Amino acid sequence: MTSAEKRKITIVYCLLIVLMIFLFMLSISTGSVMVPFSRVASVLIKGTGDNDTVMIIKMIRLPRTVLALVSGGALALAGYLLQTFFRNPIAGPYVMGISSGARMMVAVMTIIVLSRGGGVSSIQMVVVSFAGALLSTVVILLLSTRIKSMSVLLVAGIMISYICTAVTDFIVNVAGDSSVVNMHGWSQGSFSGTSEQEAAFAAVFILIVSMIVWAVSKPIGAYRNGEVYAKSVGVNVRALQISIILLSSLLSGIVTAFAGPVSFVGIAVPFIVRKLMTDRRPVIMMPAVFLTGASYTMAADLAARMLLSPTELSLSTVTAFAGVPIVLIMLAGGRFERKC
Amino acid sequence: MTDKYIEVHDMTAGYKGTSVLENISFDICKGEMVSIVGPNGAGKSTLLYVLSGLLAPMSGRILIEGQDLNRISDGDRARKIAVMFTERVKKEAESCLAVVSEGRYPYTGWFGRLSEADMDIVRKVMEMTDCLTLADRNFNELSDGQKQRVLLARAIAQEPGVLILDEPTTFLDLKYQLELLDLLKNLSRDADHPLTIVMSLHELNLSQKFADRVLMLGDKEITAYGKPADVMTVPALTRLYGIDEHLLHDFMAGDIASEKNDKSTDEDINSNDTATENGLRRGFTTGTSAALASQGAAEYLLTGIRPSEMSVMTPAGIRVSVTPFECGCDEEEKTAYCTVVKNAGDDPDVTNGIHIRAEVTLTDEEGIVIDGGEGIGRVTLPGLDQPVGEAAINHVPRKMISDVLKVSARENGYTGGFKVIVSAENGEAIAARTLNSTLGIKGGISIIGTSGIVEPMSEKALVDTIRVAVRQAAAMGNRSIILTPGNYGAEFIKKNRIDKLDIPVIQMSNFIGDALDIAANAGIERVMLIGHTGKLVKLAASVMNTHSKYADGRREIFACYAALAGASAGCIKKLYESVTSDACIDILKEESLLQDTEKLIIRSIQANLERRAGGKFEVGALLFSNVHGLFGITDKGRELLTEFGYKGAL
Repeated sequence: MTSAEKRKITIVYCLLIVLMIFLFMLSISTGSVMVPFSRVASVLIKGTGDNDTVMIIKMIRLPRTVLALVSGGALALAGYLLQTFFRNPIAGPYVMGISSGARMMVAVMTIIVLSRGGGVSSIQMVVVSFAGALLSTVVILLLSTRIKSMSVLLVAGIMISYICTAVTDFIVNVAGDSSVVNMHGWSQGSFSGTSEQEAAFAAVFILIVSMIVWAVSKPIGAYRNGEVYAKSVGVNVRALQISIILLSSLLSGIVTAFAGPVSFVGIAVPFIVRKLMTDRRPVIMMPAVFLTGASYTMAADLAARMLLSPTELSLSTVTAFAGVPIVLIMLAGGRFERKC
Repeated sequence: MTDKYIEVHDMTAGYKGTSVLENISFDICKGEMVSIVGPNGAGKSTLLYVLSGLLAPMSGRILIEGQDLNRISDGDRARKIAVMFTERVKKEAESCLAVVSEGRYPYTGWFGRLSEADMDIVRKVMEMTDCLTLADRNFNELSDGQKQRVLLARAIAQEPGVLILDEPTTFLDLKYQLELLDLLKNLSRDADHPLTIVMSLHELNLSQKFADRVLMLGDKEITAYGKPADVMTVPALTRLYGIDEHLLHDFMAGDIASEKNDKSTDEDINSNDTATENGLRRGFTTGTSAALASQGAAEYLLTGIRPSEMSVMTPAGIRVSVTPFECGCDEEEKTAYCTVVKNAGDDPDVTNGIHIRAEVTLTDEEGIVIDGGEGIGRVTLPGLDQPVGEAAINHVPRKMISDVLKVSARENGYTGGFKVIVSAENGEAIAARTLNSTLGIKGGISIIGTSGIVEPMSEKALVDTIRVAVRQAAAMGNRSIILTPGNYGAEFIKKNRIDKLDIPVIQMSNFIGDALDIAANAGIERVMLIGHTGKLVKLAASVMNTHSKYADGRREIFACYAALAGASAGCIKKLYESVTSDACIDILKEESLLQDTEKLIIRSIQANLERRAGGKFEVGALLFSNVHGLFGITDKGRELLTEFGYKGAL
């Protein structure tokens, strides 16, 4: 790496971190009650401030913002992993039906548990959601052994997504329970109503999984050159493929468990980061993908809250508004069938 | 080259329970270059995959340096074996330096961070493969030849003991094929770390020229394995490829004949430090070596002083001087010997570095008797330079030896005769890598050379390859061929579906004149040239080797013919100042002179081609530009295309 490249990477990283901190602060300070940055800082750092502000920040805005941050990072990273795996820049947890699979399983479990008068714990949600994500991924993988064209495979993913959505809607309608009303917001993707415990749980979990992903960046880098090449330099390709699938399902599963399916973050963010970075090695790309995903999603959440305030838009509406044009630009740029 | 590096024992391999290779056993020595040949589907790639450790054999064992390939860890294996397969994975935009750095994978830590030492190796390897200048370039923007060099650098950066390549020459044109194989050959000959090379090659002539051993893979098994000269025989190849024998015979016979010619020119040249115009060093032939050695021995014998330097004038008019490698004298026996190391300059052929020894004995009878000793072949078939039974020392070297001995005798006042025995260390083994046995020369190398000097080959090799291709086409019964300078032409031909006409398309690089002469000799009746205007327009000025090293003249041609078409002085000046032929076409378009100028140029090209063809074949030409499309086509060219059955829109 030349020193010029190093400098460029450092600058990009500094900008991404500054942007993320700024959006984090902005997200916490913005709402029906505006809190200036200085007071946000003092509440977050020293824990001091008037009771109302402390409560709003600590119990409502901070959990929500933290969840948006880690979810964005997780989805972007999951997208990046799937794109590497399928060698196609348009692969992602949302378009391939992985988020929908997770959502369906969560819906099934929630209805069953609620109808018996029980409660659902975070860990149960994550496990079930992960199982759903994995289910969709496995179906896609099975299809990929028969369908060689990437575009057809993506269409198949969208079909899976429809089936899962149909199943979810059916269950929700049949259940007819009033508590299911909550499901509606969730099933469109939302960070509202996140509790402190949930946010903390999601943050810890996602950060750990993301670190593991980063730790396998070296073999992933070799894998980009093809399976045969990766094997020839000593990568255990089979184990790596399984890890990629498990890790990406885990990341999209966790996010779906807490926030429902969030669209297009997984495609749009890696695309933007590829444009920013000249060094495409995963070890360099991955942290940037995470940071950008975090900023993108916090900004989207902010927009969802504020654009039609006090009405809240669903998160996927906003991420789609920004994400779909980016995907279209990719398609128009002839990058669709090109391997990434 | 004696220790076994790879051993394959009774190996069966295949996919999903179906065997592609059955009970195969062979071994490969360290530093050997082995080429695997065979028809499509014979299992060449499977064998390479198994040898790379990427596919486990169904039964049998593969040992690498004595270790079972399937028992060593992935990492250890990657430090021993590097592969270069034509797996065309689109890469993300990355610099070539980054691509080559990937080769350090098995040596770097958890996050793949490259140390200074790693970077030094990367740079060294890139220098060796001549791609250091590409370091900052985007890999995706390189030409195929450059890409292949970068990928080779990546494989070598892995510091393997063995390099496995699957059809490495597939996407390359002639020049790059030869360069790549030459580079591989050098790597396998590295004194400190000889690289063992196993590759599959489609081109039989390249296998013959470069491989130490050729492994022929027939239906699931090895049909032959040995030195190219021994195994690449007509019967073996006919069987292997299932081709009609006489076709192959024609092809191979042509090849052998051309080899014979080469040898006499090859071995004709040489001198220690004479650089040619193209910067390559000349070398000298075995004939010159023998003459030098004879001179040294005679001087020692006649003066009693150990010679410090020998010097002869070659028939090419270049003086060659060398110091003796070894000499000795036995005055009582009236005999002395002297050894010279043959230096082939920048044309390293099989006899490069061979020790040629001459033993000179004084005889009472007058006259000079020359014979071959150990390592020098003997003629067993008629039709060669020397009669059957004689040592394979051709008449020119014999004369050179006689001449130097006569001079020595005169200068030292000696009046008796000489008996000279020329021998070559390891001559018999080295001869196995030449075509001598096929020519009926048994037991050693030939002492040959007509000019005494070896001109560096690269260009000659290219012309040889064109010759082989044209002869092959002729041997297959073709009377028409299409010649094109290179990849632009090939693309144009493909795009316009001219390649569907069943007329062989042969790349001739810059050697248009040579290619036409070759076609004439091969009995070709119709030749169509299709090429980029930037190259073929030179034909208008009768420039028959279009390499810019010899002549350019594009802008002069455009300017001249535009002037003939009535261009203004300003326009001519503009043409003269433009850099590319496309720019010239643009200018002519603006001035509405394109049609007239094109007609004149095309007419002149046709006339020049016909003159070169000398009535031996019909010839036409088509010129195009990548920017403007068709530039022009000669009348004869249009006729030929129609005869070829072309129905397109050109």
